[in-house]
Amino acid sequence: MTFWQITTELLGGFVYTLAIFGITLIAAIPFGLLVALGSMSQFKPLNVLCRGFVWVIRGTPLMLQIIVFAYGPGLWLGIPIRTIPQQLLMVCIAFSINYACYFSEIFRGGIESISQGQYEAGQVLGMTKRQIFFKVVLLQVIKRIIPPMSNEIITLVKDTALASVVVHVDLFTIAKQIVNVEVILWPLFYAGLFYLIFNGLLTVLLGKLEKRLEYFKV
Amino acid sequence: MAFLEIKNIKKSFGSTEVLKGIDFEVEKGKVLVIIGSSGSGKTTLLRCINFLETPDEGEILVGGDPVLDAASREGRLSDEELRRRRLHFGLVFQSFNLFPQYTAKGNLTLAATLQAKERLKAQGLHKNRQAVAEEMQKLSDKADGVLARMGLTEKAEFYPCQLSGGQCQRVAIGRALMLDPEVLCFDEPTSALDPELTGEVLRVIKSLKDQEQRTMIIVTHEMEFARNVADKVIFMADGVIEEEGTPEEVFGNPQSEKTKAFLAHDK
Ligand SMILES: Nc1ncnc2c1ncn2[C@@H]1O[C@H](COP(=O)(O)OP(=O)(O)OP(=O)(O)O)[C@@H](O)[C@H]1O
Ligand SMILES: [Mg+2]
Repeated sequence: MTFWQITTELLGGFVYTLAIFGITLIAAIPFGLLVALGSMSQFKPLNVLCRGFVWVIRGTPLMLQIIVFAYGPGLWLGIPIRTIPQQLLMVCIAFSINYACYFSEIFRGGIESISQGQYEAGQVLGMTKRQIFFKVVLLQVIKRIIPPMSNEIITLVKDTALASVVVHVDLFTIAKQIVNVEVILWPLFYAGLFYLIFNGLLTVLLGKLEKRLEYFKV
Repeated sequence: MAFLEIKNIKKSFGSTEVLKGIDFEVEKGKVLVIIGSSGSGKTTLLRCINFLETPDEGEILVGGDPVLDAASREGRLSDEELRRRRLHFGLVFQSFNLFPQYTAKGNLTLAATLQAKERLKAQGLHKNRQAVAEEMQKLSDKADGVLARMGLTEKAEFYPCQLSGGQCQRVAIGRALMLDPEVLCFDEPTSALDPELTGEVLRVIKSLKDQEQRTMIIVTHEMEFARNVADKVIFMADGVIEEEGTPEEVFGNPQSEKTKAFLAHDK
């Protein structure tokens, strides 16, 4: 294979990697917010359920969760996951649930870090709970969680390589296949460069966002 | 009948009774100063008046109308009703609690804007651009006026993190004034400030009395200021009013042993 052929092959894999990354991010943020609200709820059963769920997901390997979602339906429900789109879907679900739990802890920490005084100031000014959350608390929470969220997002980019245990289309899997077939090592490093550059872009972007909120302190 | 009547307010946290039956009255346009040692329940009292705590017993009346009646069986107030009632009062916190992501002027206009929008919506005018713009212009002008009275005209577009403590507290006072509370409460408004910054805040509070005849309840440890601004002074100890009177009476000729000890210690 020529350098250009390898490049195209890897780019093909990179598209899948990006898809897993994008779908997971978009699904895990709202789901994580729900889990965060659940684990802060005064309603005990919901609270225990959410915290228990987060504990299990954070306490077991992501790889195991991916395997459960990819093979579980076939083993236990008689719905085998065979086609690539189906496999990708299950991988994305596993990723989304896993990251939602990590995000939920970040959201919870962020919301709980806002001082009671902010809520009370809003209350004595006659603001509703909704208004206090959306007009006062939310932006402060966003500012607080950008750094830890950036960390998780960058980890997610690299974690997408774990998809290779069930579906053989992502960047890392393609690179491994080329290495096996061609008996050369460098495509792996080349693939690493893709991750590195993409993460570099993300870092710049998230840094910009952080900068935009630098005008105030919380 | 006094403008503000506080009757037999009691409040316990668990098994500790923090307020053991507080009664007092404030006439319209008068200033009540509350002094007392740490833990005597001053903050809890202000929080009860501002609906941040629910008293176990007691009544609050403004202009003869009951605003809070712990004994009544009216059940839990709706959020709407609670909001309406708490707007009789304003509260300035010891630690300012400004909204950091808004400018000084933004802090003043936020709640007022939200309330104006609700009002317009109730009148079906919220889609009427001109009506909305007029309302917003009014609020902006009002905020400019309040900022001027607070001596903050130059700081209108500054964020709290760019202001000194004294300036922050003046923004907080302005923020409370924007909603025209009938009774403005202060919980140790200068305790979080460097000594050289307390003067500017105390001057602003004094001006609210002298120039606007605001009805105010001020909790403070600044005895000189208390003597200067108060029409009436209350000394609290262990959840009760230990002594009450004019500043001359309480500071000049205290009757209770506890008051004497507190004032002597404070010198
Ligand atoms: N939310 C609460 N839960 C339990 N105890 C409380 C609570 N708030 C206040 N207390 C207790 O009530 C008592 C009175 O507190 P409060 O803050 O009203 O006193 P204070 O007169 O304002 O004192 P300071 O001068 O230190 O501000 C204290 O013993 C305090 O520990
Ligand atoms: Mg206090």
